[in-house]
Order: sequence, then C-alpha cells, then structure tokens
Amino acid sequence: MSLPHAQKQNFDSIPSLDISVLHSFDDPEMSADLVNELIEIYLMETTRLLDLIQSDLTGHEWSLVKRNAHTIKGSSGNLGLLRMARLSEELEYGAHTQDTATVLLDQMKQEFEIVGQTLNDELKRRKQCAF
Amino acid sequence: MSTSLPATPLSKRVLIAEDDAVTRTFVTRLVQSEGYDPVTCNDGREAVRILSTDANFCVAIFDSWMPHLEGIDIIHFMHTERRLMRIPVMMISSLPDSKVISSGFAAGVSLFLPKPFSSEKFQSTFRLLLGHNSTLSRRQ
Repeated sequence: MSLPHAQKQNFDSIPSLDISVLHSFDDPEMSADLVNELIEIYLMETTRLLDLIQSDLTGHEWSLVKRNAHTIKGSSGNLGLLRMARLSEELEYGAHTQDTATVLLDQMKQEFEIVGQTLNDELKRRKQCAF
Repeated sequence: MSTSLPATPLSKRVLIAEDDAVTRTFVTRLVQSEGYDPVTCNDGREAVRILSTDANFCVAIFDSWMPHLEGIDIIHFMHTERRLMRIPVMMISSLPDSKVISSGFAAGVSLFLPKPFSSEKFQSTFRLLLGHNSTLSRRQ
C-alpha cells in the first residue's frame, strides 16, 4: 500500500540566490578567499546535513530533523541562498507529518543540486579571477 | 569611594560558540578583521568547558540553539561566577521572537544579532558590544 502523497509546496517565487550577499563579503579588510572558504564549507556541510536529515526522518527523530534543518536554514540565509533557507524553515516549523517532511526534504535536495551547481560555478569563476 | 581593581589591559580574545560551520567561519573571519583573536568551539558544552578555566575574553558570541547546551544555558553558567559575569555576550539567533529576546535579556544577553546578518551588521553590533565592555571596565 502506498502512502498518501503530501502536497508539494511551490517555492518557485523565491529567488534561489541573492548574489549580492556573496559580493558583500568581498571586503578588502576581510580574508581574500573568504567567499571560497564559506562556499566549500557550505557544500560539504549541507551534503552531510541532508544525509543526516534523511536518517533522522527514517528513524522518526523529529527533534534532530528540526535541529539539522535549522542549521541549514542559518547557513543558507547567511550565504543568500533564499529558497534553500525558506525550504529549511518550512521543514523546521511546518512539517507535521512524515509525508510532508519527506516531500520537503526531496525539494531541499533538488534545490541543493541547483545551488550546488551555482556555487561551484562561482567558485571556479573566483579561482580563475585570482590568477 | 569605590575600590578599583588593578588596571589590566583588556583581552583581545573573543569566545565564539556556534555549531553551524559556515556561520562559525564567517564570524571568526569577521572577528579577526576587527583585530581580535577568536577562540572557537562547536557547541555549548565545549564553551562551558573553556569558560571553566579561562575567563580572559573581552566578548563572547553564542548561537542560541546548539547541541548539548544552548546559548542561554552558557549564560546561566557564566552568571554563577563573578569572573565570567563581566563578559558581554552577543547572541546570534534565527529565532529572535519576543519570547526568546526577553528571556535572553533577562538571562544577561547584552545584544542580539538575528540571522542572517551582513558583515556590516555584525561589525556594528560587535563594536557596540566592545563599547559596552569598556563602560563596564571603567566602572570596576
């Protein structure tokens, strides 16, 4: 018997990335490679946290689902990844059933593929500019 | 007449407790860019362990929600020891609703910084906190 499918919410109206946030870190007083460092940490940590949320969901560990979603929300927001931050917030506060949470996690994974590509492109561009 | 403590140079060390690696790195670099020395840890329990033996910080920056012990728990611990009470605390939080803010201030938070924050917003809050610390030092 298949589980009833939760309604997939539409977050398309929220921009994936506000690039001005990343550009705002290009402060001459700051470490020159700060943005690169933050992007690399974000990609690594979010991969790990999404895997953890998947395990937490399987184990019905709701407090851990919310905590890890909360962490992704904070780091995404600080890098200007608006849609990822909003999806994480929805998982943290709005997911009241396993079904809803599973659908939201799938949306987060899809969004992470998009932002992963965008951030990797930004990394390449910055590294090329540095030479 | 008040008895004043011997004048000691203010520490340039800043304790940062934040479980999110991106925010921790960001805050660390911002603190360094202000000319201060960050001491970092990943959760509240580690922060309490550090503070148990080391009070030589001019500012402490805590995330409100961390594993093991939350930011407010660290502040409660700090208020059990006089040597730690003088350290002003900046609380960074994604949950700064009125309840969190009022309980934070009641516990002893000096300033809140809502996430997400820009480098400019952090710098202005940090400088405000250092001004608060200078005022406290002059009172001692």
